Amino acid sequence: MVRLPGRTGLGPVAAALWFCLLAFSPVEAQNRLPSASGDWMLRNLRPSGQPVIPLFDGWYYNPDGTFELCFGFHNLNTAQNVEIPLGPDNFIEPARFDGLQPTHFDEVPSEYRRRFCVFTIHLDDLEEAPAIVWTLRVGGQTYSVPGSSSVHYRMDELEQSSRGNSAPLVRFDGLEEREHRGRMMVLDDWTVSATVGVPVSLEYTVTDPNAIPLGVTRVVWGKHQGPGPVEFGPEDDRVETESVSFSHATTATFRDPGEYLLRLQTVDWDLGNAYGFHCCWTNRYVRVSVDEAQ
Amino acid sequence: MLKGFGRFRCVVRGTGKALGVVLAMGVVVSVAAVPATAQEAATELTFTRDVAPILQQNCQTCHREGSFAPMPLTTYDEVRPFTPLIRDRVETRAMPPWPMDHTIGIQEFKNDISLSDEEIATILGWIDSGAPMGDPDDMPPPVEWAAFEDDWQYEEHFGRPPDIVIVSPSYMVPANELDHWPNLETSVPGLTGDRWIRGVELRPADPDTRYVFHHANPSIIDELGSVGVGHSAAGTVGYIFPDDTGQALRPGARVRFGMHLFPIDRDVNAVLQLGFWLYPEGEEPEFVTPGEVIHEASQSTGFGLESLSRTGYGPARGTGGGRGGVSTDPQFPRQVDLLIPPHSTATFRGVYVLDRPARIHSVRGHMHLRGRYQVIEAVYPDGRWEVISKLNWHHGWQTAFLYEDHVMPLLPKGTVLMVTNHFDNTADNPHNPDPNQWVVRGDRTVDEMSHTRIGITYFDSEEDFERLVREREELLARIVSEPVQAGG
Repeated sequence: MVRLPGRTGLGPVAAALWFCLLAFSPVEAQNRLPSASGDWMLRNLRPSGQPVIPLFDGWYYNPDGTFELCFGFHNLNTAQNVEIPLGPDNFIEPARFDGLQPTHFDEVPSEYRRRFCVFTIHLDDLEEAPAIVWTLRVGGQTYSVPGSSSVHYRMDELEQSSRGNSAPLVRFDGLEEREHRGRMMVLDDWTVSATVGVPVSLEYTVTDPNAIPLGVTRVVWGKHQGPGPVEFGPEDDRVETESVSFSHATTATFRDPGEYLLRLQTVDWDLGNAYGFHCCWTNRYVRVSVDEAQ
Repeated sequence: MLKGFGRFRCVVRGTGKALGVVLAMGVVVSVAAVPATAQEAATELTFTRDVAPILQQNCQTCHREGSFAPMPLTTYDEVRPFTPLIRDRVETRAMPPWPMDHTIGIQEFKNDISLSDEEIATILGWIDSGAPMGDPDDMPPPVEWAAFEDDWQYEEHFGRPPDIVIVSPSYMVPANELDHWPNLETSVPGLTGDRWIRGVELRPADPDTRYVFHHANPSIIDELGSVGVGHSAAGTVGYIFPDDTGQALRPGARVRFGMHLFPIDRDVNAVLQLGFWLYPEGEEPEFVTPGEVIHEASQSTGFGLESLSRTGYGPARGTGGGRGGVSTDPQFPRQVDLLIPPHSTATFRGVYVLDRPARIHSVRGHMHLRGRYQVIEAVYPDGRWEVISKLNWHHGWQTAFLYEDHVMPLLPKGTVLMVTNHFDNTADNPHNPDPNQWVVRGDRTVDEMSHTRIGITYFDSEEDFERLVREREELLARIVSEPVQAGG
């Protein structure tokens, strides 16, 4: 298992991407900070042709005193997924953190219109946060967002006691022994093998960490990185159970061969409450190596 | 001005304030009282005779020992060192907190705690002339304040303490954590038949709770569903409905206290009290109000999307839809679409079409740290366009503004109600924690919200509405025919 603070990397895929990124030498982060944008009127959403906005959701403490920065995005297209490969149109500065971010941006979700905390950046010193900038270039325009060390952006993690929210434990069945919990971007050593056009089953078990009935859990799948489209069945699910645990399966079908990174969010309670208050859910990532069909 | 609206929160000022003369349906023409200039008034002004009474009536509710303002302002020795600060706060109308734009829209409110032009001139003149103490014999006797536990602000208005007081379950707010948002339920005691609420006040039950109380959105829950009642935040005491209007309270009802509490440096057991003043048993008001209805600026109900309430009280609540539903069309704007670029200002407007006549009795804004102002406008079916109110947003003072009965906007069916919110995500906004950030909609203070809670009554009968319009016209005709006394 590899924690992904940027210093340890995403494995071979990300390492290669980082190498490419270093080749184009991004300028200093401060140059990417947003500049004055004038006055803005709502009604940004269109079926297509709109940008993807990178968002900084906030930061939280890790138990060891280090920090995690959470980033998400808002695709302003209601009917257009956007692909922005890592590189000059999708990069994080300083470069040591680059490669963690998504390259696939789902169209605006029907229920809660953004994607929250799709990846995290690990920091030993929170004061570094404002110098970490994620930039997307779409349609000739540049959209950047820095991290922030402001206490206003501090988030609960794992538990929000007043509403009873709690990040579930998640384990990929048959692939790992240990359960994981929380938003920290962690990538395991294992890789799932798949073949183009053949659904691969992704089985997982969700457990309440406090051994109380789960109630409602939302399951949200998405492609994080990868060369071609992925079809999930289902992509978004709502599971209601009085049990403390449930097992589920989702299939993923790939059109193109290559190396993929899939993202699973298991959200305690309903999306509005969890996302609106930025707590609590668990992010998991699955590497899939897809071969051509025989 | 409503008499006895909290002894010192609001006083009858009569002609000392601008006298609003209301024309048809809420159009206001102000005949401003002309204040004496600071210099003219300065020569004779003293603390004991001229300034202390103003402070007693307008400032000492908070600025006294045992209350939560940072310094007491009850004696000359307490006030004198702060005269430069007082001068600034009074001249800029930052204090007393009344974040309603006084240059546009309706200006007559039951709970207006702002200083009149005359009072401002008196304080400025006194400070500019050296802030003399004056004759000690002129000093009014100190105010005898009620004990915190007995201090219901609306008691004087209704002539009695609340008829029912509902105490929330106690909630432990641990020291130094992030904010808590508990939902706590309790029953309503003593109901044997349908009752109707005339007024409601929400307050911390004890002094400690004041320090952790951010806001609360209580709801009445019964077999018909749930409806908000007495939503409150810093700056809001509660609501008093028009004399012909009430909110239902049925046997078996429960109250859910949706709270926002922020921890301090020590553990606090937070408890809230919700007081109801009721119509007499067996008396039913002519009109039923759902209380406040949320109107989102970053969302509209849309045309042709009217939906009946699930609750039977009025419009559906909780979806931010004002009167009507939310479109399932993904392109239709929703509140969660709010997005403000870095270093930018942003303006959002929600549009609502009334499918029935209505009367507005209060407005309360809600934004967070990037909020600057909210404007509520009405475009009438005949094409007239009116600014009802402009709220100059201050996150620290989330005041509910209660219109005087004779200026409550009467809105015919088909009126377009517009709520416009303006945000400032630049470094010029002193409350902005980070102008480099994209700002989105969210429950956290650092994210944004953009709604106005409009206290409203809908009329199912056109005849009722037309009668109210006639009564208003007759009332206004009487007011206009009476001589206007300016500056008195």
